[in-house]
Amino acid sequence: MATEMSAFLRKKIESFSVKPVVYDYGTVSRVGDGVARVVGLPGRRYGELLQFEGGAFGMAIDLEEDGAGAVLLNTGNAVSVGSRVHGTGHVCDVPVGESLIGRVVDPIGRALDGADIESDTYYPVERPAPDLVSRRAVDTPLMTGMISIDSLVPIGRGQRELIIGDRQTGKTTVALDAILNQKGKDVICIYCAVGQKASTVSAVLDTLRANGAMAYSIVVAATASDSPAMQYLSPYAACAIGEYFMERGRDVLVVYDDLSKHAVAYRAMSLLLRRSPGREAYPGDIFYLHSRLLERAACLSRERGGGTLTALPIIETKGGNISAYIPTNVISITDGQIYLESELFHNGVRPAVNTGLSVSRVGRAAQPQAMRKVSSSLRIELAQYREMAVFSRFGSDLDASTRKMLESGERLTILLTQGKNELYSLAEQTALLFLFKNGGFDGVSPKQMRLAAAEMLMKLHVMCPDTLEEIDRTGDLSDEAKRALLECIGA
Amino acid sequence: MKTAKIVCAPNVSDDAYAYICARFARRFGAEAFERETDAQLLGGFVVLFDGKVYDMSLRTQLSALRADCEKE
Amino acid sequence: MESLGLDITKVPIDLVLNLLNIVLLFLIVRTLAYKPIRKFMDARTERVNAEARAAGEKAAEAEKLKAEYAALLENGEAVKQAQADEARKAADAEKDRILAEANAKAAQIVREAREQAQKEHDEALGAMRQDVVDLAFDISEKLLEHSITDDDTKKLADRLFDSRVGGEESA
Repeated sequence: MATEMSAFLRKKIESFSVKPVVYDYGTVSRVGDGVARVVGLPGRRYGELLQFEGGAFGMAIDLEEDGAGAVLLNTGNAVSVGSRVHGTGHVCDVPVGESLIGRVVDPIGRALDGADIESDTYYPVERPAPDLVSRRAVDTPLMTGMISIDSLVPIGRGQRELIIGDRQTGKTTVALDAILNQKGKDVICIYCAVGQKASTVSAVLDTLRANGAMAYSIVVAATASDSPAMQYLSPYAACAIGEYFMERGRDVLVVYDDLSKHAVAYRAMSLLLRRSPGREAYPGDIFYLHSRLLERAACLSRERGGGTLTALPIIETKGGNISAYIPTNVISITDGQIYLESELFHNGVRPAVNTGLSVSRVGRAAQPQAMRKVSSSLRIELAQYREMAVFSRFGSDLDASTRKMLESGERLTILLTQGKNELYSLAEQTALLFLFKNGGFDGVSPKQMRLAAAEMLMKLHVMCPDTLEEIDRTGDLSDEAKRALLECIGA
Repeated sequence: MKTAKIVCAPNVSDDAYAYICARFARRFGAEAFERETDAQLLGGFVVLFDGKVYDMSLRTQLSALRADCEKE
Repeated sequence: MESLGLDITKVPIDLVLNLLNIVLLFLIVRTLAYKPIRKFMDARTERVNAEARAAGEKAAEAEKLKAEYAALLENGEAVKQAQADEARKAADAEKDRILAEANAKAAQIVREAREQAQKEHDEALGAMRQDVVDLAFDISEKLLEHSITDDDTKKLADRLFDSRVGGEESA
């Protein structure tokens, strides 16, 4: 063994040649609040990873004539004025691969939950979006398990659907339920926390673990205590991790929670880099910040493997103002939005989906046939109910048909509510809506509606489990299935 | 005036320093030189000039050799 | 009557009446009893014949069935034998398969154990190599710091300035 070692070292020494090491360097002229101004550094590139004297790393995101503005990625190491900086020659990247499933990582791929991540493959966090010819139309549903969303605002694999609402309206719950519903559906889920409280991220992690979702999920976290640079990188890193699977023909769901905080972190970075502030002090490229991220969500063509990356970005509004700057930007980028209203939430309608303002631009193309058959008139019914409900507040006497419509609308509204983490399969949703349309809940008072729906489901599971299994398997509601369901209610 | 900064290990004598300056001036056109000492270099020198670092320190060479040994 | 030598006046009337009675009785019995009884007898004979015929047919059928069953039994034995042979063949094949599987599994276990041992050996070697490298370099740093000479420094300088890096030599 000793001889072997000595021979090894001798061989290495003999084959080694002394060579000069030459690289570009710059000098830190200003540093503060996670941002450093570097003078010099010829050959600098946008997004290049820079190494500071002392071991700190940063990213060059502001190239100027005589230097660069860099954001520091780890603030633990002290960077001082006069420190030398050199470019590493490659851009910021993140480890990707199967070894990340079930793990919690930060935006530069460091494990936050234990052992280091072992991966041979690294993807740059900034990557070009798939081009036009590499895409195909969204045609496969991504079921969320929430009846109000799957029936009225259906999401397809490869779509970008925004979840928007004020604080505490259940946005994260909707996204988490969508993740939980992917169990057994061969969809890799990535939850990206941007600027969230560590306690909130920890609660999300507990929910995912308790429901066995970590078997197919990855968490990328940049909490509120991380630098603006890490919060800025977080969604791009999550997207890069998802792209690894998408490019191998897999289906991926990425939740960005939330892009409002992402915009705020980018604004902070830009202001510290002395970029010119624009509207609401955001930099001029704030739209591009989100558009280049969300364009990476795609449904790839069969020639490219057919993989999909579905994005569920979350935006927090203030005072229900969806026409503010950042919300309108992201609404114009995405393929639809799920608008969660505070008033509905406080009235017990949860998920608090405002069906009037929520839309899916992919629509029925990505909805199972069974759901299409039972949900075609739902939106109109709800719209009519809302109009009538407003009218009825004036207290005038209502005729029998109007009263009947109001009761039916109220029952339907309650039928569309669900408990937190309470998910319905396609068959259960289809059955409930079909039976509702065919008088299965007529005569049930709105107060008893939730209970009646639960009892109906139990009855269906006992009396026609084969029918439910057939609907789930085929995605369609055959005439035979309809007959079987009607028999259940004795019709 | 093009100034080059030469960071030397403590064991670099004035004679060796003068040699480095002369050769650097001839090769890269530096007109003035600043000397700095850094014990961490172990031996050799590092020259900073015109946005480039020319590292001929023993520490860097040993690090490269160590990395080569660790690779296999 | 004269031809017979009988005097008709001397024939007793009772005898004639009895004869007449007998003939009359015979005719009556023949009409009322003989024919029905004959009919009855004929019917009974017919019935008996029919039963005898049916019995004969049944016996023939029974013989036929017996022959068939005998043939089946013989056949059954052959089928049973064929099935037993097939079952034996299948059992042998299954036995071979199980043996082959077990051998393959055993070989795999041995292979995996060897690979694991090799891996552990390589890891131990790697860890030791790392320790040796660390030690060697730590020692080198300590020694070189004090042993490097001016000549060595000039050689380093020559190595830099004679290589193709950066700018050109000025006049």
